[in-house]
Amino acid sequence: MSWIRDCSLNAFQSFCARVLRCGPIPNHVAFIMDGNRRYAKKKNVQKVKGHSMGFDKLAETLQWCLELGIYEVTVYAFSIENFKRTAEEVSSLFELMREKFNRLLEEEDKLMEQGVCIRVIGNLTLLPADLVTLIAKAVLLTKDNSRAFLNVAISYTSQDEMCEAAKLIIDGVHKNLITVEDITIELFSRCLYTSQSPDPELLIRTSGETRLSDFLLWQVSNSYLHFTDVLWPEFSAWHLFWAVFLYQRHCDSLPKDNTSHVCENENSRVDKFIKSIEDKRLEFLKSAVSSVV
Amino acid sequence: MTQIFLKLLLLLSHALYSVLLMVQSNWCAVFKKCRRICESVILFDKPILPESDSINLLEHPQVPLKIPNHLVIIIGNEPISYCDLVNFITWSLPHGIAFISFYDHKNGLIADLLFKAVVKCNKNILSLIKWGRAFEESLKISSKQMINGFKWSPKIKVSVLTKEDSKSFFVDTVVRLCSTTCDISLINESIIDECIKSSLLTSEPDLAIVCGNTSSSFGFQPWLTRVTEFLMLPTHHNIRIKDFNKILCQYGAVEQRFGK
Repeated sequence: MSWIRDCSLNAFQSFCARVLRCGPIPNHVAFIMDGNRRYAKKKNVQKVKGHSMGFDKLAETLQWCLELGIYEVTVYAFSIENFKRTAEEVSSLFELMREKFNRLLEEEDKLMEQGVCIRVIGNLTLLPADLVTLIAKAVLLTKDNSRAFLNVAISYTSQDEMCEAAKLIIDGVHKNLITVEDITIELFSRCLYTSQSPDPELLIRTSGETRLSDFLLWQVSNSYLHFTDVLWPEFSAWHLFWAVFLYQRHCDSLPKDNTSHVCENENSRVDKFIKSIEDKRLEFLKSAVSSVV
Repeated sequence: MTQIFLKLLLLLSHALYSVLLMVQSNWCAVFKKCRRICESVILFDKPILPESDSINLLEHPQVPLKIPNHLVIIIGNEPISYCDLVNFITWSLPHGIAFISFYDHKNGLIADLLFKAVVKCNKNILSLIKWGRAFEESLKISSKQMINGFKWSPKIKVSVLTKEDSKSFFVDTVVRLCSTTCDISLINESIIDECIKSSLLTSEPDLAIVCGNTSSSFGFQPWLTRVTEFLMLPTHHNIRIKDFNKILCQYGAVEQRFGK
């Protein structure tokens, strides 16, 4: 199934979406798409089929988000911890990712027309080289799009991300690129994989689990957490509307983070340092593509 | 015009939902009161102890399938009721919960007042408590002095965590690592983990009870929330042991897969 699909909302749902849009809408929503394997078991199909149906649901959900005015979505596709699963399941998941990223590249025109920017966050060095190449191609192709953002966490855990950010900062201090005084919450946020995104205001986790499972721990620490019992492939527009409705009731009660990714006190040394990190990440993606050519 | 109509519709939906919640909450309160009256009639020949009676509770704990080693109570946006917080400590003891932390993102929770509340509400448990983060040395000494006729044999460590123990604390840890580590290849998740836990004198909470209706971790130290189960408690005010045990049983029924 395609990444870009027509909106599946019926007339009444579209009307409800318009009503919801009159209230506060989160700019950025994070999803832990849990329950694919349980759904496969329930339907008596293979696990990989469950994962495939999970992807289809993601494509559908992205359209619902756009209808609601949510223009940035981050999804947890594959955790570093998931490498503990059977070799068969891990390789079938990677095969599914290859298929989907190939499909994405085939849909270049549609993606560019809709202005969707795809970012992949995670420790890509742990992934097979050919998959990294496909990911790099998709990210580089869409990097200048700015109408909607889809961040896919692959080979990701939040503690790994925070550890990598800490290492970058410590290395920067040792190399005199920044000073110890420059180390702030804001600088740390700007060194994370998600440096280009605002923090999600809403996190939705399906399948009844009520934990974060090492996903965006730093970024969602002040967000509204919505846990729902439904399995991810059964997630419907009503579930999304309900989560947004509850978010609207609580957004004013959420703690406000006094820091933002946008640097208020201009510090050219810090900006230069951040720029060097972004350049290195871009260079890594370019080298992943050029190594195949 | 259409926009105004849609906005009114949204306001109406929220108002209607608020009314439904209010009716539900009042209905529950009436139901609980009736049940308590029925129980007291049925058990008229037995003495009815107040629910906060610690001795009764210590003798009759419910047994969930598994218990959290570290429980954190996230106060949320509620005003603090110290005596109810003492109940959490009291009820955690018979379950064998080794660590209990209280986190208030508004920094309104005063460690000294929590100590005084324990002395006032349930002095008997002083011999079972080790005071952790935010409790001053002088308070720890006077706590031991207040134990009359009992040996100090701590079973639970009580900590108070504040907003300063959250993101800014993590950043301070990175600053400390800058001066203590010369080679960045030596820095890994275990080193950071050790630094955070040893400085905060705490471990990863297995269970967070979030008080109030807003489901959020309210900025609790992000590094420590990797595997924490978040369960909601509508309010910690006048909390009953049944509600507490229900949450523990809910936690006990959860099976974590750790990525598998």
